[in-house]
Amino acid sequence: MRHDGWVATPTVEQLDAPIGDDVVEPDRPWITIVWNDPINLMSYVTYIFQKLFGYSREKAHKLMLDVHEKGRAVVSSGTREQMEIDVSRLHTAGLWATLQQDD
Amino acid sequence: MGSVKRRGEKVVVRLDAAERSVLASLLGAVRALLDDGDDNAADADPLAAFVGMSDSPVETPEDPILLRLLPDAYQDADEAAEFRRLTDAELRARKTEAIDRVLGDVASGERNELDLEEGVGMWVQAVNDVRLVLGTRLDVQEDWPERLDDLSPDDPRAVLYDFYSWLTDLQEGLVNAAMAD
Repeated sequence: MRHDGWVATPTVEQLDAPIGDDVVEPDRPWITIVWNDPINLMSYVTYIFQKLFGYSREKAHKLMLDVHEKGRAVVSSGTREQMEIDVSRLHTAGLWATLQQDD
Repeated sequence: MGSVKRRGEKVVVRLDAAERSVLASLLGAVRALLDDGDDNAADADPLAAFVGMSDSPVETPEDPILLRLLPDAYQDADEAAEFRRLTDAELRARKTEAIDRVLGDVASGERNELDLEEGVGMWVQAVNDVRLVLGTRLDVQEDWPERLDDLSPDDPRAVLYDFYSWLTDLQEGLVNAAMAD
């Protein structure tokens, strides 16, 4: 995904970095998760996914069904800063969302 | 009984006087709930207050209703607290802005024409926040319509369920009208 020249430097630093549980690996993307809840309407959740992320109705509907049936769905991924913005917008809309670094 | 209809690039909402009165009361109650946490502003750094950040930790709401309106952004408690410190005032302000927009529309009369982007967006957001408050208060589950049949008319929760049910229909109507091709 990342192919710019500047990526070489962090890669070298990463090799020298100590290995441990709390090492933040820069190449692991961050993700936004929406959790199921019994109040938000299925139609509203689909509408919000389309409106906030510009997803097609099909994609928004599929993500909504994932939230509903599996209890959660990853709705976007990117940098930590981008995911913080996405979570803020989802909270503004009243959806239950969190962000984390991808496993 | 009110109606929600799509008219070209607008959504037209009609609410009778009783409906507008109930909606305004409920919106006002949610607005007051969001207002209460502003105590941090008094002793805040003026610049931080201006940009909406708190220079001291913003407590995680103990009230489940407020926590549902202003949820944690991280599962990790420390990261959630730091994010809340930076964004709590902004989130409250955005929710209050939508509530104020709808309160203004409702006060202006029976018929409101909403544009598809901002107008409908503010309405569904504000109506949904009222549903979140009532739904959390009632601890609604996905099968709530069936539970409603078992509720005695004398039960004090009955009137809240009536509001919740009406707001659910209103929101469904707004979303369907907005998404209609």
